[in-house]
Amino acid sequence: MLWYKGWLETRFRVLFVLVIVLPAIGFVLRHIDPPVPVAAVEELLNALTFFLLLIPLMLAGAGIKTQCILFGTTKGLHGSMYITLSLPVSRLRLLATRAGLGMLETVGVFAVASCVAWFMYPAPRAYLTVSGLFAHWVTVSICMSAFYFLTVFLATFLGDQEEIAVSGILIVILHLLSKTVSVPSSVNVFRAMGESSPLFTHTFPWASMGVSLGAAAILFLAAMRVVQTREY
Amino acid sequence: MADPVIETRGLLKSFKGLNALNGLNLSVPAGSIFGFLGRNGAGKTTTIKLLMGILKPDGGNARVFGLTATDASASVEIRRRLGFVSEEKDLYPYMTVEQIIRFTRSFFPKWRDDLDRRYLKLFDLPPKRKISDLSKGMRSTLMLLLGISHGAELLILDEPADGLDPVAVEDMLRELVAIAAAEGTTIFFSSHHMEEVEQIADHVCIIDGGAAIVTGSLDDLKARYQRLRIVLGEELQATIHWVDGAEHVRQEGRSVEILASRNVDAILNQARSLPGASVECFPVTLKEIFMEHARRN
Repeated sequence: MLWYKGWLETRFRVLFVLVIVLPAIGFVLRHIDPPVPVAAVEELLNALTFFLLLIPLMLAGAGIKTQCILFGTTKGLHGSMYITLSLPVSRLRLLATRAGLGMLETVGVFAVASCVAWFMYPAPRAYLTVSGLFAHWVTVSICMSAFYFLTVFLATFLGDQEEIAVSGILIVILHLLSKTVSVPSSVNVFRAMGESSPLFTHTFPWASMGVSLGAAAILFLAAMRVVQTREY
Repeated sequence: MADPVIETRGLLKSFKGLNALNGLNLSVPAGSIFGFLGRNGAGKTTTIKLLMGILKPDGGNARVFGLTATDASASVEIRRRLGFVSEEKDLYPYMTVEQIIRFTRSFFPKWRDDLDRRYLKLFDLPPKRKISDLSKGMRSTLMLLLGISHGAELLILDEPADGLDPVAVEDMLRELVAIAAAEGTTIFFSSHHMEEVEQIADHVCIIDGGAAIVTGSLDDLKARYQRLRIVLGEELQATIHWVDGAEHVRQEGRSVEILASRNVDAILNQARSLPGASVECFPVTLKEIFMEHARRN
């Protein structure tokens, strides 16, 4: 039932993210009337992808501290954390269940957004295939995992609101660095979710996906280490 | 004699160089109602957190049910067998009473539906109400319900009566005694309210500066500690050197008041041997014992 606790904490965040993401997608897609150059579509997709990175910020959690439902007044560590820590479960299970639930919600929200885009707007149907969109969803879900687990890691030692703020700032910095520092394009995770997506290249950006998964695994292990050694 | 349910030896813990626990030795007998007393900041909550694996000690060891509390997997087993009421009395604010019961029940296969129904009624807890809308007292009783209903062998209660009105405190204390008697549950509760502890505890430990300063069965302590009121004869002027055990001696004119922690008979004999002295002996309360030690430390 740890998933149930996590779901009660995040259900309004999922709703909030959908309320933000779906109109944003609609706004972008309404400005694509075929025919437009592919470069313009890539540019719009890049903007949208960066916007989609808000999703993991909102939905990630480490499972020990009690999270506020949305942007409530719960600051720092809520006293109910001691009830969580008194349950007969390991800290690893607390972390893994909460992190797993948030990741599922994240890819779920992105799947809903993709479906809405496909069914409600003519532009995706004109430019994309279902298999291309599915490949894009897989790519973004995997590439997003690094950013998701960055937030999970931060959630192990920061308060609820600080974790969102710090994670957001770090993602913006990484995004700017990816544009200014010469990173091999094959491992540029931001590019993999934008112009190097299978939507345009018709092939998976395996190197970027591998980098992202590797980073996610390292961040999860770091989060696990913090949770197992931290005193509350 | 049965093995103690909780046993600590030389437990040490410090935070940023400040000693919270300073070699705590504790032994809680199985089936006892154990009052863990101390001033705020004496180390009570730190001890409880160490027993539950929330904190790790800097030295010494702690065993609960014979299992090492610092071992991660043993700690899970310990928590499976104990119920806990935290000092904060905070529960998940977004859940309703019935949701948190359903949630907690899922972790404990021995959950007792009869007990949760009984305590919902006894403590007048509305199942559909959100926890954020409950008073601190209601949250306390809800935590107690969650701790008791999973069939815990040990209840660890950190200031359980905080936020309760006097009637609710009486109800809670009565229920704790009933649980201990009916289920054989060991109850370990920390408090700085002496009256509550004296009312139900059969064993106590007074902690100060992170170490146990008085420990034992309440009956033994009460037999050991006596207050003596002596009115000295008119002719006696000299300062009296009392025998060992006279803890707190207060003299005003011919009237002397002594708190004796041991050797009561020897002190009585000494007092009675003084020319013209009249001696009266009174039992002491736990609060007096506590105050005496708190003052001295």
